[in-house]
Amino acid sequence: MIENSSQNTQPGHLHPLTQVIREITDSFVALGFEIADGSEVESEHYNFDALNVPKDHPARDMQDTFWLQGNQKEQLTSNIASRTTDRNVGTERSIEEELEVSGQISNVSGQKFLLRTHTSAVQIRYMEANKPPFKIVVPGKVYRYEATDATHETQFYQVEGLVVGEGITLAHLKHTLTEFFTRLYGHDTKIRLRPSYFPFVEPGVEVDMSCMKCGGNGCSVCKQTGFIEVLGGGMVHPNVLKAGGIDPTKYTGFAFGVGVDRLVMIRYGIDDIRLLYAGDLRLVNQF
Amino acid sequence: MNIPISYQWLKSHFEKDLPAPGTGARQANIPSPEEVSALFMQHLCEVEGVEQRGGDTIFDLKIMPDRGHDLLAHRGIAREISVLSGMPMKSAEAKKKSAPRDITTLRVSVADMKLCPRYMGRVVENVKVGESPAWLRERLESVGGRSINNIVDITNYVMLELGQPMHVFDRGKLVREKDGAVEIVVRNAKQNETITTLDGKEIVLSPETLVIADSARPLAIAGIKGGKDVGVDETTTAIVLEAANFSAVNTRKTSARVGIRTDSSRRFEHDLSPMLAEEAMTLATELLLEMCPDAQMGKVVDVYPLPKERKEIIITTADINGILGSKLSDDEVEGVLKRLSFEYHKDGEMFVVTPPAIRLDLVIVEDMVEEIGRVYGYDKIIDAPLPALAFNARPLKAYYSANMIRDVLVAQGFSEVYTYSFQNTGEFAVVNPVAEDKGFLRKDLGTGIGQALVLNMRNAPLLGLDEIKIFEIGKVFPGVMEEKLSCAIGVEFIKATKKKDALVRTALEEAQKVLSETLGVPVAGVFTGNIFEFDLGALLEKLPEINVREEFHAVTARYQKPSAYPFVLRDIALWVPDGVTSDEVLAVISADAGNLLRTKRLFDVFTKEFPEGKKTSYAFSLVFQSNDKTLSDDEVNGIMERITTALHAHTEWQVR
Repeated sequence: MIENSSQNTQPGHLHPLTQVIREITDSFVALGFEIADGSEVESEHYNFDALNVPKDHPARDMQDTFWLQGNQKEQLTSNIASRTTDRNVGTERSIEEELEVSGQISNVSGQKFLLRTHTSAVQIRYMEANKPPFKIVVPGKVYRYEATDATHETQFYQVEGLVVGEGITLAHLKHTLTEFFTRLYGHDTKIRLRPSYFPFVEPGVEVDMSCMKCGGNGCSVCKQTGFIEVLGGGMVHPNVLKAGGIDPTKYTGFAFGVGVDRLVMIRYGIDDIRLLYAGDLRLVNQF
Repeated sequence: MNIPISYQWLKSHFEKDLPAPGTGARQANIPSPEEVSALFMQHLCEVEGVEQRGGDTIFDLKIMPDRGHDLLAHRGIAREISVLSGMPMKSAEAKKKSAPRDITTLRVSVADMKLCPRYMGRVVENVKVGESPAWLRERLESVGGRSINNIVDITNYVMLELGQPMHVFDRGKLVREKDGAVEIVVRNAKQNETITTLDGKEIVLSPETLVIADSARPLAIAGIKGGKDVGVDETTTAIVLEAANFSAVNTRKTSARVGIRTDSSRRFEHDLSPMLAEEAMTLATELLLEMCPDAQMGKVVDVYPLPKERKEIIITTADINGILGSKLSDDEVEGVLKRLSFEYHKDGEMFVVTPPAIRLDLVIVEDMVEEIGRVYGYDKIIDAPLPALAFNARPLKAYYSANMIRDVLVAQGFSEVYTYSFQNTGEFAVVNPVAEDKGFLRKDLGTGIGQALVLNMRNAPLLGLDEIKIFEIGKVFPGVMEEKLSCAIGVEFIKATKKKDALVRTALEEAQKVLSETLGVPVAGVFTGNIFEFDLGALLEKLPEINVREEFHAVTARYQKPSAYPFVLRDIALWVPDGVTSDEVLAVISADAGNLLRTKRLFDVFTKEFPEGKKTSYAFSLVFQSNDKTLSDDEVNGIMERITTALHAHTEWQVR
């Protein structure tokens, strides 16, 4: 229940996404990480190609993409609008292909542009500008071409981590993430790694943490499994190091990405992701 | 890609009731469905569903794109059970073979071996189209398939079993050459050639599309869909079986272009080993003979000009431990290779491994490290602290400055909102918007802030606010290929007075002033009505480097979902003797208001001398709302009566 007095100026409220992004980012800063950022408009090269996500490969389906338009916007709109209702398989690619042929996708010096689908896009840019060793954390907004519902949004937030140095291993990733989740959720937090696939890492893992609600005993939040899937990660693929100008025979690295919105939703019991972007103080003022 | 996998089908790959290894007495069997799920989650892939169907268990497996070569099929999954549980798979039974007869000649020509690395065809005569046997129908139906007829069912079964899509044509409907032969040509379509697919869709083809044709017309879009007029039906007595390998990239592009995606095209998109075509042809032939014992098999025509070579991967235990941070021994690595049944030999420190032909995902050392690591188990890797790196983290000005601005604004009573990056107008357009009114990236934050002000004004009584003060920090896109960081602040007052516009302006200017003072540089921006927006990116350039601030801790809030139903606003005012505090009164109100009272707020206080003494007047505004329904006037009146009665229980309190 809200109790308020009109007489004094009350402080306002920070959005829960901001709060959790700051908490995550600052935790990594405390572990010696540097914060890096990048732009939301990104080239296909940095978002996909250099990250070992080949064109015309099923891996591209893992991240449906918003493509950006060049200068010919008028001629295009009606053509696209008619297709947006048809979300059948393959639609996005056919648009991409069609527009590539007709030159309608934003194309600067031979590059196609898009809204970054993950903060991993910052990886190569940072590698190009900095020499290893380094450890960075990258909070940022990302976009996916998705039909929206209570658990899917076209925009959401990620925090990316990347460590490159000599002798970096998966055991280091495990330790770093355990330390991080312990800072965030207390000392009983456990994590587990499961095999997964992201083209920019090899091996690739899915990381679960013991359920913050029930502590691992099983509840509705963790669907009785005791664990919640919280992030993806793995050892940086040698092709990615190479693309960033780093010698993969000398250096190894790990990378991971956390979806912030999901963490916020689980933590506070928010059941609809769209509320986070509605500009609605009925949500914000509770934090 | 997710695929349904039948537990009973998997089980058919193992001997029934095998003696457990080491003991002669106990009977072992393959792991239970629960054990299979647990093994897969830990070592293979996500199990997204487990459903009991009849006497079977159907797993919904999420197969990642790197394992599409071998795991989009029951045999591949069964092989994983064998690797992970140690249960050996059944060795292939000797099946009835039929010597190829000299029947209709088949000639196959492939124009571009890059698009079609392998094409195997076989004419079969004297087939009898009919219903499939029960076991086959059950298998197909268990994983959501539909039985069509024995011939078509065989090809579908082979695909679900081996992962190799097959196709079958009615030989009787194909053009016969002068010498009586059937000629299959794998070529690109001609401009404006058409085909009507099995599901009756007419497709106009373009030259990028690979087709299977006879000398007259396209018979199928290669690897994607067959043509209707050459399909098998109940009159069919002779067929051409196809087991081919098509380019993954070309299949994917074509499938997108023609707008048809099938179980077949999805598998080819994942790139299949040409080896599979051979196995598929053998299995399909065996099944055909089982169902049509009198069938006459023609020779298999195999166009495979450049057999794919299997490549070796050389790996050492040090490679593995160097990436995983594990402490595996040579023996343990060898143990895993044996469980995988991979061909390998040792050469000093090195394991020279030749992965199975089907495992196209295993190419570089890191691939083998993952393969060994996942079978060994990531849970066995003991975590280790990062070594000290020669690295000094620099503070990122943009991050800390933006947070400083947030904190300043929050201290000034502003709340932070997030709005959408997509809008119906703008300068930088999205090629594939999710909706017509979301075709552009926002050119400013003010538009979204304006909408948020309107929304929150409606809820002001519920929020207990006289004024809405909000802000957003985020990227805006003022032109094509332009992106910058912006900050917008909005203010709106609930009470409409003559001075309102001036008050709004004053509040915005006050925020601007405080920001300028705190940051030490003038914050210049644009005032538009009740919104002030400034270019935060440009401002950041002018700021000095910032010292890292204290670690932030998010609040632990108890969140309550906003109700979807309207709220009802009521005021109540009363006289109480001097000295009674507003909190005492509120306590009485709350105690009797029930859980529908959402917001209570004192909005007016004054005192007055009465003959009987000094009295205070308190006026409260109360907001009622239900999570389940729209409240009626009667319901709220009832609550107000209860509150009044409770207040009057204090004899000297008087509701006005």
